[in-house]
Amino acid sequence: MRPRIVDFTVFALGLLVVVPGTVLAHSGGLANTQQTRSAVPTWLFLSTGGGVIGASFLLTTFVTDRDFVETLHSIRTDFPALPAFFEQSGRVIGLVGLGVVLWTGFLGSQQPLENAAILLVWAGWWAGFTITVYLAGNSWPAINPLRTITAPFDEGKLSYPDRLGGWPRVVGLLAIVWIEVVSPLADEPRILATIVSIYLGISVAGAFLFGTETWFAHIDPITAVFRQYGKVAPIQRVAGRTSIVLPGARLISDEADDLSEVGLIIALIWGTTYDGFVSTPLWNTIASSVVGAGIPAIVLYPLVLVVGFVVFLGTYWVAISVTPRVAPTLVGTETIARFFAPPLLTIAAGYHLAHYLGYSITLSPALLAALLRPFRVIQPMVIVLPEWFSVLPVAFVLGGHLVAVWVAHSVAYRLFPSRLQAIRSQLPITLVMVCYTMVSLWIVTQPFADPLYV
Amino acid sequence: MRVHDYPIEACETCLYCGREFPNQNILAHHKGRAHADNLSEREQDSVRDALEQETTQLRMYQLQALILLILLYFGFLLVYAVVT
Repeated sequence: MRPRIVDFTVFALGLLVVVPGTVLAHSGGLANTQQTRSAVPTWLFLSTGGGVIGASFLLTTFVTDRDFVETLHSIRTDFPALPAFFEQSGRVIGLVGLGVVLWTGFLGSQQPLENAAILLVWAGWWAGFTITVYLAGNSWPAINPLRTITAPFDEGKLSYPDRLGGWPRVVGLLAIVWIEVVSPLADEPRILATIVSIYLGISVAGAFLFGTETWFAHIDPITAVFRQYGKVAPIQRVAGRTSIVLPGARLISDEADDLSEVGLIIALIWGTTYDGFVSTPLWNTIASSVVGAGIPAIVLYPLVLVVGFVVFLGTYWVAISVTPRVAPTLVGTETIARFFAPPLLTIAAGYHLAHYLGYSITLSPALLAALLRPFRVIQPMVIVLPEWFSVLPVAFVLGGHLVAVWVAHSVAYRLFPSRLQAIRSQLPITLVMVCYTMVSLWIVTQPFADPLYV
Repeated sequence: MRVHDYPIEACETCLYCGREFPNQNILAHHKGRAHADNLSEREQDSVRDALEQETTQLRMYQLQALILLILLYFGFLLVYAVVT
């Protein structure tokens, strides 16, 4: 038995070391690009990842007590609403944060690790704050400085065309991913501050035209992303009541409103994947031959972004369309698509945590310095993570997938009257999850390569 | 919640709420879940039958899942033994 255990340990460690190396590297210019290859061949590494997800699905088929599943997810503790004081201080924090980012971005040191704007936006906001959104609760609506600034434009000048639904925010999210990938947002404070100013300008104009409420409910992609991540969290605010539920419970009770929300969830997952994919050597090989064939890089990047999104959405749609054949039902494809999309959010949260927890802890001393004295040149201090920390990212990635399998199981129970029907209905979506695990694990095992032509 | 998006001719309609289901069996499950308090004795029998039938089928399904799990586990064990 002994050699087996050793083999598994070697495999597990190999897997663990790879993740942070790659991930930190493409979190934008602040980290090294060291890379360790695991001793296990790639195909086996990938199938093991897929196998873990498949096995966890098989395990859920043994949990068939409907009452148990329902009771588990209706556990909730309400607590009294927070005093208005908290909401007001949230607004102040948001405004001050935005001010500091703009000021230090344009006028501060242009060294990324010495600059408060870079640290606040990446280590503080996009890494640290987002983590609190899916692990605790979505506090973005209380902080969002853009909303505070545009609050006076209550009524819009134009009425929002309803047929657009929530699709503008999907387009907006893909656009943000594109800009993040092709521009040196994490390395050059001035460019970061410029992009933030442009975003501020667009938000002010949009809120002025369509009204603040409509803008942030239907169009603003950042608000939408935090709302989606927030659904994973244990602290939930529904109908004015704040309660604590089991993590992920909201994903079961709260299906996507319409297909555009399904699109948004898929865009969130594809965005993470695309960000990773363009940092692989394979991508650079593809990109150089495509650009060599005459297609300019400026077309290539957005083209792949859009095509990949369509492929992801299409794959999801195919899985949903075959569901009624596997589990006879008259529930329409659109309804099934709306119910099975939210479970995917735990996968997105798991990847985010794997990518950014180490990153935000590493940079926390510099971030703290940036928070205390934003206008001074910051000493570029970092925390060196202990060896065992590299175990965590894989645990987060797998954890996200495992919770997703469980949430999908509970969603199926909510949607279908027969338990057998519920279990069978998960087969197509589980197959997609297995494939996606393998795709993203492949990306994670690739050595980091700076994307060409950007 | 919208029940279905397209008309299907061969379906069973729930007399209590008008929702439609692809067969008698799933209709019985629905009645047992949604209208347990209003059912006639005959309907209660059909719900019981459907549950019994489902339990048998679930057992079969779980047996298959167990076999797959074992195959998956030992499959990977052997592959790792050979490859690494």
